[in-house]
Amino acid sequence: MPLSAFSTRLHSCLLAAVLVLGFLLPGTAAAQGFGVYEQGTCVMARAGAAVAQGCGDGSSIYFNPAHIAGTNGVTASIGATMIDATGEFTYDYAAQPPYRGAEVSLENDPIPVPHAYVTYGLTDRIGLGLGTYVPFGLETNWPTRLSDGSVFDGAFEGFENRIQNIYVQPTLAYQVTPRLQVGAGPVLGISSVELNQLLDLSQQQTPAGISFGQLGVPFHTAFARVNLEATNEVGYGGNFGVSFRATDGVSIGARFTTPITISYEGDASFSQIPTDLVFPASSPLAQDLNQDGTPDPTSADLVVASQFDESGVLASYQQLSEADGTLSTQPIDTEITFPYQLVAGLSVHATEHVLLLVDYQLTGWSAFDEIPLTFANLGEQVREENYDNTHAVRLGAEVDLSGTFTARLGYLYNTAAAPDEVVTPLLPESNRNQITIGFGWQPSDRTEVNVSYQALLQNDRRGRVRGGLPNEPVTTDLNQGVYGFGANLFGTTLTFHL
Amino acid sequence: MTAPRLPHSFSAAAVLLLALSVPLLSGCDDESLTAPEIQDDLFNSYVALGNSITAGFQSGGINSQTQAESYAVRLSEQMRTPFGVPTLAAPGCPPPLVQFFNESGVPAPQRPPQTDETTCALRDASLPPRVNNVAVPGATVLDATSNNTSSATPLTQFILGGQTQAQAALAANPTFATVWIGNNNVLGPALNGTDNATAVETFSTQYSGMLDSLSARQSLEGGVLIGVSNIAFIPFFSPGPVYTALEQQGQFPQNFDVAPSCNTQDPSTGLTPLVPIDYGFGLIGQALQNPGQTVTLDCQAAGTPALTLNEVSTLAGTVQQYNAIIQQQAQQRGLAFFDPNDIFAALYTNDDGDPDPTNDLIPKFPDRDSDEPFGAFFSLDGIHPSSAAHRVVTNQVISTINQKYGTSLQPIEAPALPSGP
Repeated sequence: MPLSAFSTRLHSCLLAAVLVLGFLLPGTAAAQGFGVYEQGTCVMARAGAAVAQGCGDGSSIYFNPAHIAGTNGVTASIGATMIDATGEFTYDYAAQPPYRGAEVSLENDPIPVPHAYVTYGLTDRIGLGLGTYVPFGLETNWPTRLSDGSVFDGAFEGFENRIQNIYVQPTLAYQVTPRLQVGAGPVLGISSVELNQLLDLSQQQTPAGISFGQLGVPFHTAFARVNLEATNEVGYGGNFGVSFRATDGVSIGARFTTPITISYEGDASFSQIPTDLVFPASSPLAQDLNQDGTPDPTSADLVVASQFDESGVLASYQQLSEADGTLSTQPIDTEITFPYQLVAGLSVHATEHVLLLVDYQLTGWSAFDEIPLTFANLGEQVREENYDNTHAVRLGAEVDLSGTFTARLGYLYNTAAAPDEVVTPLLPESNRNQITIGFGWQPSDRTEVNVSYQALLQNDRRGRVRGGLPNEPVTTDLNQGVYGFGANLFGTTLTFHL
Repeated sequence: MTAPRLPHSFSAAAVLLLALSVPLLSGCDDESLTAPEIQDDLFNSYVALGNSITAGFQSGGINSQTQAESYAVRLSEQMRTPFGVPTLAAPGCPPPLVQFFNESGVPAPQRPPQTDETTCALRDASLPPRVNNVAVPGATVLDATSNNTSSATPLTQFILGGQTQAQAALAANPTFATVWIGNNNVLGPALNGTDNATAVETFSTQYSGMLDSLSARQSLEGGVLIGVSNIAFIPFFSPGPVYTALEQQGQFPQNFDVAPSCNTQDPSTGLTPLVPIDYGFGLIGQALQNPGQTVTLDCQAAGTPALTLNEVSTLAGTVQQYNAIIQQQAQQRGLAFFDPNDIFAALYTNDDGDPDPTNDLIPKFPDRDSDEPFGAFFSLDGIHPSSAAHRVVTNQVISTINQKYGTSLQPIEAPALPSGP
């Protein structure tokens, strides 16, 4: 195929892929941390084991760019993985009512995570490719209240959280020797983040420099909802791979994907929530409402109303809103480092029709140590995460049933990134066992359809639903319940060999 | 592409077996919920409503130390139930007195250095997730359901933060409650030298309304209503006849005269006129400062802080009626009732044969040379029970609860009550 024709097709495919990705949001994390590893249905069915030998569907752009070398013609794939996650937080039976033993369920809808790849064998030794995939995504939707109307503590940590990072990666691969291939490509990360939290009045400072809590306002008094959102910010990195065919039946491979740091410039908007608190006339917070020279019982909502702008203040206090109030809509900056991935693996043709694969993956989640938030009016706040690097072992098997049908099976175990004291509603993560199964059908030389299923079985893990108070260290002592989490993943990829 | 074959064969089945066995190797350990340690499900969520006594106010002040000594906290510890206390940071709000009398035996209440009665260190920044001790010093019955009253104080704000006691209690979904409130409905007037206590009918309506509010969430399974304390048992008030006796013993300045009106006693009830300590010692001080002028303590004079026998009788009668109402409410609602005057009467009337009124378990006249001028059972303000008294109350409440609900709360270490007159 002439290069110009390839360029035209590539452009069309990329446009289609970007359009698809624009409509589909990445979803709940299905790998370590908030990583999403299901970027190709064939590989997914092998539990992600692909660094030593790819699937030939273009997904090697992500899993090991070296495998693009030596391909023939144009291969284009498009697909998605539907993640149906369920989870809950169950308060300890030692917790105080109304929380004792209460179960709060995750309210996530099934979320599609798309991928699209195009590869082109420029020569026998040079392969080109362009891929777009979503290796990092997170969505956790929690209710803000329990069934009895009590505020869910976890909503102060975050109740509608979304992080997505779409990678766009042009790729060049070269076959150095008949046995050795290398490949690499720059990565453009396009990321959005959204965090919704309730704000606790007791933790807010009064003009006198003391907190409302020190003036008696109860812990976890929801007085505002904050939405932090930044979209389509970009960062840059790279993806590198090498593959070596040791014998005719044994291959080894490795991949390194660099970390990508993305700086976000977004907006923080605040909406006032009624507290139902009325400060008595004897309170130092009471105001002289009737201008008779003595303080009157004063609603807490009135006291804080001037902190909100017109769009955020309660309707009854519109006249008190201030455009430049502390809790007015304001710019916010933050930064997230998406971690490196280092993968090494082995593939073995056990028989003519049976391929076995094993991958080990190290992911540098320790880079996700904090989320710094710099508000224009509120100043700097830091959310400590202190994630740990994670380890994963992936075992895959592929059986060629008839030349047209292929069956795949896999098992994956990965450790958790979140340390014991940071298991929160943002990412209620634990060690995970995952089992995969899938089938490929190639009705013609030009078309291939893959479907797969993955069961994510996460160990229950103790976690917390609140942060530390002033002078209170964030330790596992704050854990007051157990998070359960699981997911069913369904993948489909359609591949064309042109 | 045709897959090359390995010279030595692998069994796909063996690999599958290996794959399936890995989960067993990698572990599927679930972490679990923490089990409750609560003594009885009845005490899943215990809340305490009340006034200064329940809040832990002692020696004219309150801080985390005195709060921890409240009978309500002691009781929760025996229940082994989480009990959030609205902790007031050191030195307090205000800081408790460190002495009441100076070296000359003159009332000169002293607080810790660099503090006074206006000092308030506010709440500790580490807030409890839930407040279970919602009692507020100075609260009357009406204050339990309204913060828009004349008796609300800054402590109302610092402890409840804009809620009422009932609202704060309901936020904890109480399964069990103790309610010891109403003392200030009589103590307040008594400290002002009047018998103008809240009308009994009004008290009844307010008390019933408060209990109705507590029942709003229907989580309440049990509780104890504690009666109103008789002001006559408070060592802050000295009996008029004691002043007469001390005058006759030459304990007072020559120019300090105790009028015969003080030396009266109701023969049927034993009640006497009562002289507040600040008033009595104020007059003694006047006598000392004006040696040439006779200063008279008149227990019948109108408009003085001294309570006449008639006023004392009225207040005592009011307390009895209040307690009858409280007891009736307890019966109607299936709650337990405990009369604290059983304790204080036993302490007050204990006759150890020592005629010195300063040596009584509840001194009829303060012992100015002692570190405990109001005895072991009252703190340095002469009004609020000491830690020892809270312990005694705790055990009596425990006994009441066990009797009513068949529970097995264990008593705590506490001074023994005298066996009675």
